[in-house]
Amino acid sequence: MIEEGRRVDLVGEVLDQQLRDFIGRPMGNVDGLVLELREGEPPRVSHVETGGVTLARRLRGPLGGWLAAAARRWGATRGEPFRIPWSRVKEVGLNVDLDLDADATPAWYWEHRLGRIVARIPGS
Amino acid sequence: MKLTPKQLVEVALGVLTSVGGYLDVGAVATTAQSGAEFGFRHLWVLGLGTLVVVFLVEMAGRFAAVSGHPLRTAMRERLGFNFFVATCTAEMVVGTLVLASEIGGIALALQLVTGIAYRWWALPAGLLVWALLWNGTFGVLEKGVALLGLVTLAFVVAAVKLHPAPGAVARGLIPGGGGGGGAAHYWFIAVAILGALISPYLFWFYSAGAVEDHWDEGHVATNRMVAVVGMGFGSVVAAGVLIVSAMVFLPRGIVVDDYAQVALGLTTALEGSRGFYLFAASLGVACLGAALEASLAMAYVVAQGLGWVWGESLRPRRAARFSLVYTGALLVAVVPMLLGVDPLALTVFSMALTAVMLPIAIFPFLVLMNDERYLGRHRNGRLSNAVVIGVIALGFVLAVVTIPLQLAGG
Repeated sequence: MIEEGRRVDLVGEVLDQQLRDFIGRPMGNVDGLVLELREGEPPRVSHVETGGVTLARRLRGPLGGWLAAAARRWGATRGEPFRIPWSRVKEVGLNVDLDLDADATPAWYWEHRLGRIVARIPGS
Repeated sequence: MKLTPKQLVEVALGVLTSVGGYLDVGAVATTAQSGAEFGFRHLWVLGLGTLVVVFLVEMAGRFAAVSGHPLRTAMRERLGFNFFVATCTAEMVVGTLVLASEIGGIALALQLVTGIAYRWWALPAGLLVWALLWNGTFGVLEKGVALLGLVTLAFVVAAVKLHPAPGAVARGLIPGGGGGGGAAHYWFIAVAILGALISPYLFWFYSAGAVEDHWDEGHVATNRMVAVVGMGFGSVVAAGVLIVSAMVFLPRGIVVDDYAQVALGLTTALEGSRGFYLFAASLGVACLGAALEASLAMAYVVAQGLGWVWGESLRPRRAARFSLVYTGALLVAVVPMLLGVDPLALTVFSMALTAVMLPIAIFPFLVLMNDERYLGRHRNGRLSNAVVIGVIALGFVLAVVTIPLQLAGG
């Protein structure tokens, strides 16, 4: 668990770090952070985002547009960013460890779909 | 340094990296050319290149062993997504060209042995590389290539048999200008040798390999030794190629412009057809190692940058996206050879592109190797940082010098 009162540099230590599921399997990177603004209080990190929709926003120019279109057309979340509530974050180190099963998330959608195709090739 | 049997096995990673990435088709081509035209006068370039590669390989291994993250995962984490997209795109293009050259090298080796034109061997060669990656595990490939790679020592045996004058060899180790009319060409070949030796994909591969081999902080010393022994192996063989070439071609005034001539060099040195087949085997093994390494490096770069499941030791269906990256790269890479593109010309071209990208590829070392979060007390010291800065500067010179010289035809 994350120790109480620890200070974390969001951009330096969280953004872009690798996400791992509950048994340490890679499931993308922290591609975006969602801050919730509150009246009279400091903003709070509500979610981390991962996946093509969020990444498309980080790219300038036509490339970002193409990626966004591809994510709408083929993405597991059909163009919606995949958001993980901060409450699912167990540990922030070199990896950001989550209390999630990668198999059951959109992060592994294409891994599974392609895995079914690959499984038909001999020797796989 | 005392070697335990376990450490001896670990050296396999170094030798595989060396046979594949250091001693590739480009290194054989450039050192053979150098020897034929300039005798031993480029030996110091080999020394310099080896020193640089040893340092960078050591860093790549240390980083992965201490942090558990290969360099490319960390590059994405520290330098962000846009940097990843730019470098990854460039590397996929150059990587595919390098892979095509290496497949060409395997096909040429088969042509030398069978007499059947290399174009016909492109598809079988590509299929062989793919089948080894698809069915093999990292450990099996690593040890297999390391063992097969010993055949390249034929060049060293040949070099010794030719009895080079020790004084002349020693003089070659001292940096010197071209002298006479060939000065520009002398430096062009020097640049080409460095470009061929310092290939960034070698570092990504080695760094991922350290994770595949489950290295941890306890491997820091082993890693240092593996880097020295592995890259030392490659440099000794490369020096062998240069010496054989210098002793066989220079006196006869032969300029090397295809691989069959290099084969002739070994044939002369080892008296008869044995040398010819040994050369074909050496070329084939070196290019096979490089092809495996280049295809895996591309898959590592993409998968580690995007946080996919990756690993040559996983069955392909357990790392589907990763396996499809190298499959796709191989499919594209066999096309130039099928179309009959000259492998040697393609090698020279892809080496030039590699040289141009060198400063951008090496710059992340400066950021990552000094990051306390990843490396703790194993961060770079002043010497290592000085080497990285030196390589970046050297890379800029290579990038600026290579293109005009290439266009001028060397």
